[in-house]
Amino acid sequence: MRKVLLVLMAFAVCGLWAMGQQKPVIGVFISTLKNPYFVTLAEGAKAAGEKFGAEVVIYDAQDDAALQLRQVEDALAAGIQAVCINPVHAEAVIPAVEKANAMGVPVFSVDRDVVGGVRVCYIGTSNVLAAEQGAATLIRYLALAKRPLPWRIVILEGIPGASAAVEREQGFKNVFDPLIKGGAIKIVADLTAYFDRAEGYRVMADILATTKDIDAVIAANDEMILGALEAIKAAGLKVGFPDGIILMGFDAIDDAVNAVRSGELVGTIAQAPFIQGYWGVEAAYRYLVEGWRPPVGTPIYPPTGALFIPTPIAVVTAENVEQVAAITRTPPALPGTK
Amino acid sequence: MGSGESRTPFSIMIATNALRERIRVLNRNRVFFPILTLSALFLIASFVSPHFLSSANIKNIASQLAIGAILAIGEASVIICGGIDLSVGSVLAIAGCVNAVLMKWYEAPVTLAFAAALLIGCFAGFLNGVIVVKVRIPSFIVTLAMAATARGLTLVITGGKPVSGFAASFRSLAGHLGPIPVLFLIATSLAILWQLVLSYTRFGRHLYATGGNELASRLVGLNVDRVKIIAFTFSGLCAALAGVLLNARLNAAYPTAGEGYELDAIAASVLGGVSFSGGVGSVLGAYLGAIIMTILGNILNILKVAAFYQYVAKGIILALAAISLSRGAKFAK
Repeated sequence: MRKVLLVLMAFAVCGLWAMGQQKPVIGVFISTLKNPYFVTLAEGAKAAGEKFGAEVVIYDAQDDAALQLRQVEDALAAGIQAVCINPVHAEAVIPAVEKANAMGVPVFSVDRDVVGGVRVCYIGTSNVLAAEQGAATLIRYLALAKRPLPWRIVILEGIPGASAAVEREQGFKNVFDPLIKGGAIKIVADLTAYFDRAEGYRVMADILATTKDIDAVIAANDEMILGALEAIKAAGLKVGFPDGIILMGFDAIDDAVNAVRSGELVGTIAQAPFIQGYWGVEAAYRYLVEGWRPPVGTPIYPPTGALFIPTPIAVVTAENVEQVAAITRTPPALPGTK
Repeated sequence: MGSGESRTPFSIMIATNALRERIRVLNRNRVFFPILTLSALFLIASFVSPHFLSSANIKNIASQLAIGAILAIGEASVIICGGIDLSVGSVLAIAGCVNAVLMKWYEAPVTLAFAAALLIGCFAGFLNGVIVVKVRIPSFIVTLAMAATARGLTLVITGGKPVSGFAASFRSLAGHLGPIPVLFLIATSLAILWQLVLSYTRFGRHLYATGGNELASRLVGLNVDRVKIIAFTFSGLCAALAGVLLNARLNAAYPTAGEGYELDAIAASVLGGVSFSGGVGSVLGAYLGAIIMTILGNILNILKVAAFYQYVAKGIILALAAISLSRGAKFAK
């Protein structure tokens, strides 16, 4: 009992210390810190906090929408001044956004958008365009490898309902559908692996148990393709251009970039999670302190209707792999600022 | 200690012993620990942050504790009778998703969808109980299997996608009655009701007896099988209720809902004084345990403690609680 009190006393001390800070407080609500992509996003957010002198608090919702709602509620009650949210689900997190709206706290969605409530803007990648580029690159490599038609492709999708998953699926389909109709491609399997590496391994292993005749695998994020890579290697199959199974990822996390260097992946899409986190906090800070608003002429993001501030992307292949880190960790100026 | 050298007058010694005995009897269901911990936590929280006692925050806590509390009430009932239910998170998901699908895709009336969800929860719990009792497999394994099955069926039913956007009448379940959140009223009423059932009915006594010493209970002629089945069914019912209420709170149902919630329910029960050896603890204690966990999470969020440290903190508190409650046990499994 005494020990419990001691622990609680320790928290009391932390609380008194926390009360001493007077900078603008910006909450960054991340869907899960299990994915290195979001760890980089959090790093960008923290970097912006240091640069601009704002207190940035990072919350990890462990992919649970109910927990994210609780975190937003608690943060709002604690007096947070801006909400940068990376929603677990486009729909289930709407009550959290509405609560912030009711309290007059500005909401910025980062990397994924919510489909309700009022957001100042959505800062993210145009997943559809990026996925189209990834799929097109995959086709290019298949053509260069001179594989016999039809090319047999496996698609691994992300968490059903997450806007990123839905849009990347759309991008892949935009590129693949005409080719499927023309008989150039056969989709061996189109399954979800929940953006998770272990799931990617499991799903790929299950697919390989039914057939080993696969030309390429494209996944909606790197975690899944890396899991699939392990499953393919465990099945004893060759990987890489030009003789093995051609793999394409999305996100350009460190492990994936290393895999591109070593030839196991032919490519991945570098988004700029660092810049997304950075711009999210920067936009919130400038909104609160300088009255920044998304500039006139900012496009609308069709799936959700929010003002859309796209962040830079690049297709990472063996040719440009060394320059990627520099590009994606150097934030350009936020639109609407000099 | 010793016999002859005591300096206390005889009467005072008798009085303190009687008082101690009184307290021990009152505390036979170990409800003092959660009450004291909760009070201490409340006190410390109000010092720690000026935001804790704001009406917005208290209302938040009152809403947030409901789901965990309802699950803890069901879980505690099962643990008290000597079993364990690892399927509550998944049953929450399947009941919630069926409820959502019926309302959204089949435009069923709200009450019908509600009843259907509760029925599914009861059925899942009933299956758990029957398999444990008739097929004689440990509840750990049976409920684990049920968890996987329910989770899988949830994905099949929803196609893996969330279902959202419900009628305003349904959403009012997550609203307020005056200043008090409806969710809080539902959870508290359930806690009080079920505590009365366990304390003052024959079924309640049989539940404790079964958990305390199952063999003796059987030999004495209690229908242990029926008691266990009812306990598991009730746990399933609670999980389903929690699932429906979560739908109202989020205005969405999603197949990955409730993942890990069974562990929180167990933790809340332990914090509330329920013992894993069975036969000890109370449902009211588990309810208070859920409140403790909610407030803990709330304080850590208000203090902006980084996510990783929150897990560590909760784990430590749980261990401390279990340690301080374990005095007197001769061995643990």
